[in-house]
Amino acid sequence: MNKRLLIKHIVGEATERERKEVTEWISSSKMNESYYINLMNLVVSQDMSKDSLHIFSKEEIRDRLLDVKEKIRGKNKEEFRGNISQQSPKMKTGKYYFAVVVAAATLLLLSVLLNLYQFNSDAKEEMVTTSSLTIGPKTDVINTFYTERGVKGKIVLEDSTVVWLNSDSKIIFPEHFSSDSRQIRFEGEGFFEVAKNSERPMVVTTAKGMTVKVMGTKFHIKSYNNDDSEQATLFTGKIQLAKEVKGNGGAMVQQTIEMVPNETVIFNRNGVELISHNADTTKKVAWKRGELVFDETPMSEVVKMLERWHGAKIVVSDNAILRHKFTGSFNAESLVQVLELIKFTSPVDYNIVDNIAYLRVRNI
Amino acid sequence: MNNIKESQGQDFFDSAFNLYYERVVLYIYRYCKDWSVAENIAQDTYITFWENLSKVDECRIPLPYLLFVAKNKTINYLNREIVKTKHSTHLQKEEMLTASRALECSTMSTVLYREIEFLVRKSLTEMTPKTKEFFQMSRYGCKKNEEIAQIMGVSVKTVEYRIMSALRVLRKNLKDYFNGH
Repeated sequence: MNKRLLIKHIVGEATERERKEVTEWISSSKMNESYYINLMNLVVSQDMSKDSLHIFSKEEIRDRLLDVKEKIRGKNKEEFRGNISQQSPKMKTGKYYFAVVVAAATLLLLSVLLNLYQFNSDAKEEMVTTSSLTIGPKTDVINTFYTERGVKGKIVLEDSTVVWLNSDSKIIFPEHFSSDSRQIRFEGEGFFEVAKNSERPMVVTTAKGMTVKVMGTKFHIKSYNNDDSEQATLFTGKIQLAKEVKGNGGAMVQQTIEMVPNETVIFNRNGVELISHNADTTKKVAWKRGELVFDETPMSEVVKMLERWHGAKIVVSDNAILRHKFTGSFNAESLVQVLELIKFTSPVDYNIVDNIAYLRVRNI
Repeated sequence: MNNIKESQGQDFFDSAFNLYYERVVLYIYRYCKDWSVAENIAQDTYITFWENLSKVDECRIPLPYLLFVAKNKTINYLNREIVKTKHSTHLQKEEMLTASRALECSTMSTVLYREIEFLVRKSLTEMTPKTKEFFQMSRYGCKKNEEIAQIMGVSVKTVEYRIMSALRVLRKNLKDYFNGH
């Protein structure tokens, strides 16, 4: 049993056979039932915390308000009027899954969230988390799927391509791909498992100008708009990578690179900064497994990653801190716990005021 | 006089509907897994809300109350469906039983955590600097009252007093979410 299947069941997308499987699993032990119940209530609380749900249009809500008023007026009579006979509204979805989010230190009242435990399936650990799906007007066929800071997400596209998104990332894709190519725009950090289709290559473009063209493959992209550089790492298959950079004459030139597995290419504004031939592919997608890994990472990067991961604001008052390198890995620790460990192992002290963490040099 | 009160009540009801109807329907749908049933129960919920309008303070946010009513109506619906011999398969009955149990276990504090988080943040801004500092040391820094007294150079009684002030602010802001639900 894996969490993904349970969530599929909770949001009503499980097949008949899957429903039987889940129901059997639930009834086989009290612990399973408890886990499912907690997960279900959590999914609901995620739903309740969304800004806008996009289930009904304003007109539909107005109609229902009139129906209710009718019902109130006619309540003492035998007959009711205005029973719902409309079609059940479809929540417009690229197939998506809701799930658990890593809680930030501010959720002091909700210790129940921390009692959930993870399942390990034999195949890859699938970490699914909450995200917001913004849906365009009903006639639009372009979808945007984004995660806020502190949140990760996962989405399955029309062609069965799976995309995992780390915090603060965004993917813009059409509901139906065109016949000659599958065009996607992407910002942030994500891992792509592209379904094979040689007739329709998938083209992923970032806001910083990098293009990845693939047939069927697994790759990782990190392209946050507020980072200086962007990068791609190929896991399996073949990718054609391209980026528009300023050429010698000042005009924009296209730089193209054919990548092979285990290669990482990093671009900065001027072009290729680095090509590494033995990328640590497990580290690149540690976030997928809910791990935050730092390996001699400069604090400037650590701060950015913590802000994204926890959805927090961190202010560094001593610039000397930013050059310090930090090594450590975390899994579901709160921001305060992370800062405590950084304080323990580095000359960095912190205090939190008004939900902003201030870092300064620690006087030993 | 009556007319003004009635139209105010009408406005309050209308805005409670426009703002929260979708949320109430979705909440119910997650447990009963049927949109038309969810809408029927949601509308029933608002009818009950209307009938009890005089008892509901208009200064409070109606969402926790609406979900509380919806929760009970949905539990009743599920429990009635489970014992009906026709209309549902064994699988459906099992699923309804689980959903009913899940509803009974759920509390408003988990369902509406985002709202609560916002109110906690708001409460922090309303505290005096000293109160906030003591409170944060206690709840965010996980320090005992005795430790805080030592660090800040005050008596334990002072620490307790400060934290009580903080809790008072929190309780005031969160009254909609924890009163008897």
